[in-house]
Amino acid sequence: MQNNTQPDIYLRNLCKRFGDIIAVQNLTLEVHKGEFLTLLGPSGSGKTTTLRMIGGFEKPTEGEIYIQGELVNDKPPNKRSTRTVFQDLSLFPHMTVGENIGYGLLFQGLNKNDRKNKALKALELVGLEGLYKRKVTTLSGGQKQRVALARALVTQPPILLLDEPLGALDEKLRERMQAELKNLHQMLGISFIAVTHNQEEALTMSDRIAIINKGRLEQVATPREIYENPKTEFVADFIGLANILEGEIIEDNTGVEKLLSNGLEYFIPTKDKFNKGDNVILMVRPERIAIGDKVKGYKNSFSVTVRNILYKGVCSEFYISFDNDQEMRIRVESKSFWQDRFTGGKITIGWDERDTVVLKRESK
Amino acid sequence: MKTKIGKSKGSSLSFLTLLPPVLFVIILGVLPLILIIIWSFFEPTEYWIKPHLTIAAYLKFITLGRYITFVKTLRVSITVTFLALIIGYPIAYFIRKVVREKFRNILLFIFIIPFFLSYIVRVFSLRLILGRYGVINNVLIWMGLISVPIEGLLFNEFAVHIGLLSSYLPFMIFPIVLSIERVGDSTIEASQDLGAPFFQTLIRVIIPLTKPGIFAGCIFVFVSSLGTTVEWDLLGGVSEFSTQQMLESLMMALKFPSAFAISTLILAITICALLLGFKYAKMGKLFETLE
Ligand SMILES: Nc1ncnc2c1ncn2[C@@H]1O[C@H](COP(=O)(O)OP(=O)(O)OP(=O)(O)O)[C@@H](O)[C@H]1O
Ligand SMILES: [Mg+2]
Repeated sequence: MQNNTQPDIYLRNLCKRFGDIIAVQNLTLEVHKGEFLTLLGPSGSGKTTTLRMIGGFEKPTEGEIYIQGELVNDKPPNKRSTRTVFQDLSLFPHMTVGENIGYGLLFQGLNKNDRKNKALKALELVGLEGLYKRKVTTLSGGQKQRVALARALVTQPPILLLDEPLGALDEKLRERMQAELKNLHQMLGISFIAVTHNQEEALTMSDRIAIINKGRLEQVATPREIYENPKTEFVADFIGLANILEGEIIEDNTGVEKLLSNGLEYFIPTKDKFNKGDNVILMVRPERIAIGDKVKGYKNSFSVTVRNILYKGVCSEFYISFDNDQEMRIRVESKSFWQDRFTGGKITIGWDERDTVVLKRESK
Repeated sequence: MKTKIGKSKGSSLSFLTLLPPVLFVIILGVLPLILIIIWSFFEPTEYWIKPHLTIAAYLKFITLGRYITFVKTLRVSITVTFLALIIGYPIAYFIRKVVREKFRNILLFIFIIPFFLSYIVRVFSLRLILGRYGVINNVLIWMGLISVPIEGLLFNEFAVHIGLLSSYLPFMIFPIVLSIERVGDSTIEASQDLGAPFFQTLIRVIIPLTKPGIFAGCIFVFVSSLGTTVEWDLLGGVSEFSTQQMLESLMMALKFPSAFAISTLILAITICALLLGFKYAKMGKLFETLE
């Protein structure tokens, strides 16, 4: 726990099985008060199932769910203080925007006037002033998205659950809504738990990211930690682009640590404590690898062959191969004078050994 | 070449292909109805009718007390429709939202099976349940709850209600199942999520969204109940007499304008119900594709 206050949500050894399918396994996770936590993972990894268990729509097969300190395993959704923004939004098609937003207030015992006032305020919050009387079926995708948000937020829940909240939007709108969601979160100060399989979205919006793979929690940390210090091979590979090679520790406790992979030696950070002979993987991000003169001073420096160059505007991607045929991808700022003549030629590449991540090999 | 012709003459071609079905509908469907309405205002002759406008048939409907039977049939049909809705809606909900997919089809099938039987046999079989020595009396006696068979189960209006219900309940269930199918699980979940207990979700979300199915079911059951004779014949006994039976005897007695007048009234009521259905319950939605 980072702070002493009680977590908003505490999942303990949560398991969910659908017949033979194990959707969630032994998941333990805390969501701090006011945090924006994103569940990120590949398709079918159990993100939605986890969120649905928190919202009360699935019963855990095993384990406990605490919301603000209270065990809620047996509570139906309408008795939980969470509110959900569903992936398909699930607005009520037979109601107006105002009726949709006021719906949750009905069950808080508010009278008609108060409901209307609150709904109008919520509309303002999401930037939809003046749409109170509109039929929801006549709204655009982005407007529907905002109505769904307003409908959930108007009841002032302490925790908001969002399943792929921006999944249905086009790229431009998605980016704008990412910023708006983050703003909204900061403004309201309540906990947001979002599900996404879009890592850029997760990195942009979240205070912390929980990476889930095959129903298991791989790592939960800040976006920076997740990107810079992945704790498992899966996370290293899943987040961002990664060059991963397998090798064996060949020197330790001699001031420098080295790793031998397929006949080539690589320097690795000394803070990693491994023993000689350990089987490990080494990960280095394409954009942390330098070429040409910039390599000077790096312990890791190699002469490699350029196989291909992909020009991508801001950057260029070099596909290179080492003398031992090990391949890597490199991303460097594009230069206007570069031509394809590099292809097939030799260049020098290198990287700071502190920019590498070394992890114990997972037995597969 | 082909596509070119199709394009340039598309409208006239499609008109030609539409003509047979349109003619078919008009000649076999609409025309008879119009004739019935017109003839109901003609004068009867000994064997047929002559084109002389009169409202005699409608006056006889009142003066000869035919309206009593008519109103009773209407009342029974409305009651049966209402009962079918009360019973059918939960069944439809159960079939579509509670039962797993595997059993769902089995359940739907169970409601279809009776239609494989002759309707006379199907209705007659109710006698074996409701009768003096029927299943119900036997079970009650066996359980020791009664010692003498209950007589009032058969050959009265009660039996007719039961008969109509058992015949036409599926007509209520199927359209409602279809309309409930259109209400997404997550719409129901969203209502719960916003704090609504199930009953509130039912009356504020599920029922409003299934209005088209409810109305279609009601129309089917109502119209079928209005138009049948077999349940009255086999279960109503001698004392119970329905509009349809009255119609048949009028036709047999060659009193055509009177029979057509009653038919016109039935038609008017049915059309009104349909119009209301399309206007207020958006029944047409039932035929739209799922998004
Ligand atoms: N109601 C259900 N019945 C059976 N299996 C289910 C059910 N719900 C989910 N599953 C299974 O559980 C696993 C996890 O599903 P879940 O929907 O949680 O994945 P997800 O991480 O949200 O994936 P996606 O990114 O595709 O939405 C999948 O294998 C899925 O098929
Ligand atoms: Mg999902």
